[in-house]
Amino acid sequence: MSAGVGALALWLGLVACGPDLAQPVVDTGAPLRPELVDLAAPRLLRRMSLDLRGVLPTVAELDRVEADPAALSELRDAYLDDPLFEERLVDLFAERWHTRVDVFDIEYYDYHLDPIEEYAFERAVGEEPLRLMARVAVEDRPWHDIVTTDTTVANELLGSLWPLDYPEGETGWQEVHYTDGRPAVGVLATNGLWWRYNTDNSNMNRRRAAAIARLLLCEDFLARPVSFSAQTSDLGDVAQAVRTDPYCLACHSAIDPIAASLFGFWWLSQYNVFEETVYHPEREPLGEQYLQVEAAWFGEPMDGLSEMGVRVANDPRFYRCTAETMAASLWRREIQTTDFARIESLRDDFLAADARLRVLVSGVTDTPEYRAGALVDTSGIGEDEMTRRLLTPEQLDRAVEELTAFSWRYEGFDQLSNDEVGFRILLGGVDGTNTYAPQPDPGLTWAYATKRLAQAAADFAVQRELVLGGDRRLLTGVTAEHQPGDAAFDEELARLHWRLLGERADATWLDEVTTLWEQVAAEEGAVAAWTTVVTVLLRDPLFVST
Amino acid sequence: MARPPFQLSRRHLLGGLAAAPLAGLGLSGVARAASAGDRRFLFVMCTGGWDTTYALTPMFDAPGVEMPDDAEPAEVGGIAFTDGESRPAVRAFFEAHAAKTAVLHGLEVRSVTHERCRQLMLTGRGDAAADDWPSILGANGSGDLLLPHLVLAGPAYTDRYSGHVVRVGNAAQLPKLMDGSALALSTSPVAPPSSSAESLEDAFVRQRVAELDAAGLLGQGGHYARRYAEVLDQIAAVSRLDQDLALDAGDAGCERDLIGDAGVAFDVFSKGVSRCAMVRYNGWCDEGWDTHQGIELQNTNTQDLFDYLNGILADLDGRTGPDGSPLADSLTIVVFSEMGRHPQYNSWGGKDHWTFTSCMLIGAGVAGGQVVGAMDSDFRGQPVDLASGEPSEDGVSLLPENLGATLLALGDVDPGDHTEAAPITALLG
Repeated sequence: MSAGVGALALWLGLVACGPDLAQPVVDTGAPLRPELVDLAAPRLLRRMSLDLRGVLPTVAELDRVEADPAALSELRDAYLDDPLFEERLVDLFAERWHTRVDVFDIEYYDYHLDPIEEYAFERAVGEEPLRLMARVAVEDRPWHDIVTTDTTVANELLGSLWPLDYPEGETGWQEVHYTDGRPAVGVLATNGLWWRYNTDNSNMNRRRAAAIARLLLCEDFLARPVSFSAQTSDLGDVAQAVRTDPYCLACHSAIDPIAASLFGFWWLSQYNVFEETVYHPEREPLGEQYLQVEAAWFGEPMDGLSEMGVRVANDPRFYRCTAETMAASLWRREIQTTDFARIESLRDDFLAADARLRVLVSGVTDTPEYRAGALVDTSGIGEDEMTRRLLTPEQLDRAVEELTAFSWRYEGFDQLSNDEVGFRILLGGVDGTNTYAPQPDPGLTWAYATKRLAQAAADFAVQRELVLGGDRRLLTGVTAEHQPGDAAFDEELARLHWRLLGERADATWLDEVTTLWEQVAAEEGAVAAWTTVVTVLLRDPLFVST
Repeated sequence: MARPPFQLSRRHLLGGLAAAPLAGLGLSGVARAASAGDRRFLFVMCTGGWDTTYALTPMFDAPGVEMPDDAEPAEVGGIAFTDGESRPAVRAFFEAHAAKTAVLHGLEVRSVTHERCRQLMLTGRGDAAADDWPSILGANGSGDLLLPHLVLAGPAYTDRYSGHVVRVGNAAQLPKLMDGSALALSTSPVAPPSSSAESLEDAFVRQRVAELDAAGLLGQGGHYARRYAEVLDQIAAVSRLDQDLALDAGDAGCERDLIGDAGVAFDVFSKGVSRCAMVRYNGWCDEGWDTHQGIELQNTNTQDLFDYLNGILADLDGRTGPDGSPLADSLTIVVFSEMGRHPQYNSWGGKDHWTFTSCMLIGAGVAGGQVVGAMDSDFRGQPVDLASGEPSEDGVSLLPENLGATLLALGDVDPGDHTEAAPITALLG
């Protein structure tokens, strides 16, 4: 048993003997909670599949839960075992960790890569910490492994650029070790995290310390107001003020000792490839010298970064924060005070399962907030409950590709996952620098982007399947010769509706879409008509949301 | 929090974009008297934290404030500023525009981190769920606006009004989505639909949204369906206009063409399509303003910024608003940064972050030719009498919310609906 695990077990024992944290200390009165109505089973399955795998459920799966809603749990568990779950966790973590940015201090050309490799480089760097966490989760390792493991994950590109023991001849994301002497503290020792949260000569790693507190403990020091007018000392010497002024110390007494432990990641020359690529163990003592504080974790002395992982693992805030952030990610809204008991319950179950993230995610999908499709009472309470959720760009990307084989790429860039030349923000996504949460509502740019995505994917799929003879993944039962009234034609429409939207088509829709098909076919033929039908399905309000 | 519907009237647009929306878009040729509700706003953001001692804060009598090497005190048209041989554009600006410019000193942003300060400066709040001043103004202008707040570059913070904010994209992606040329930006070969097929497709989707909404199948209290319907209406309306909408300003070598970006904003203002626009000056060659070292960049950036402002205001001359009157008569320009810089040099010869900063308001509705607020000898903002703009011990310590309340008041939006702070009435002309 590692030191981290042992300490965690000790802490768990304390919690078991301590007060019932699920009960508020002060009774503030019964909070008003909205009454929520679950989605119908097929739509809920669709939500789960898109949230946990990024793709739609199969027709067989929809048929199954339609006949037996109790099958939902079994299918959900299967989704949690699906290899795509790891990819979805990367997406979910990215929304909060904000490391999937388009620009870092070090650019692809600094490593003499070709422009066509720019996107692959930027995403590999930004996804390093996210994929390490996702790997810990899908391997059912205790969640604190994300801050105690001596490994990271890297693909062949990072393996060729960074000091890693990436296996020769391998490809893809592999669990590997840094070879430059950095401590075994999981994500806290990843270049990807500290390239995103960089620092400068006056900041002295404090930004990184604040990121640790926010991301791992949900303690956001940057949200605290700072007023130099309320502060009393001579600000001519800022370095002195942050050590002695009570106003400054309110935050700096916690932040600076954490920052002091991060000087192995200190560079002597910013934007220098070697300086920022390699860990520098010999610089670890610089923290105490520059910041004039000893490394500590919220008042408890620690022996540098190598101890930080255990400190995090033993901090009860770490587990509550994990429960809170997973719930917020899957509920698609911020956590509110009325969620207190629910979050505590999720955390308790998470800890009781040896802090395995899969159990936490499963628990969140069992909550009424996750399953909600409507409100009982629309008089005001619960208007912020996300009973209808827009698909994120990443969900659209995966779902559309799985349906149509179309992946919107351009000069090496995934067009739905970058803002340099692509449409991530315009499609309501998170870039980590200007937007911090997925867009909740349709907007003009979102509508344009979904429209063009639908048109592109529909054209690609119909050409590929009906004209070029590609394998059938979307239009499985028709040819360009089938006409309205043919059984195959009508069955195809009904099947598309069921598969793409998770609801059975009614007669009105079938009539209307058949008319649409006929109108286009009369002018441009069957291929154009099917392209239009697929386009309107991909733009359907039930398709672009869950 | 209840989400208000988008202001664009579906009834108008579903009626075939006939007389009423055309009037709203300023295309009817019928002149309307400009009012505060018609006032437009251009936000010019300087990202990274500017050092105001290079132009706006001439602190020559404060030993604790270290000024630029070539700084000289100057005053033109009632505005005291920092002059310097290496920044001739600053003097040129005040000589030409002081009468319609007010300088505001002493705003305290209450953070020292860029991301938080950007949000605080634009919303007055530190939490994620907040609308920024331009989004509120855009959402609450008079008339039906297709692109209420156009973000050409820079941040946008939204909550209730997310549907009123339209981002153009770093590489002008929005126009490519609008005209369909985005489909060519694909490695896989894809062809756009014919215009007739696209029209049928659009009509089908609109009808589908309406049917699902009527059947109560879209949840979220109908909000989702309403929003989807509204943006489809926007697309329909924009499609009738996009031949005239040029949203791509291009760049000027290694940085954005700020005059070009402002010109795009002026175009959409003139067409009555937008009320607010955000442009960003990210410093010389996109190097930003965050000069913890290399303080000389502040000098270059300040000269370039004022050079751009001179160009922007020259471009504004002769442009007309939707009602045919000079656009300048209804346009307020706000020039700001998310934070200030420490009054003294650090060990690297740069300056660190500072919670106090200054900004400029230019143009319509602004009581120009004056400086409002003041910094003390320690470079902290002094409390201000909001009515006179003079420092006063009994006055108010200025916050971004006061600036926001002032802008909302300028735009005929009740500040009390969005902030508890009072407007700085001394700034209102």
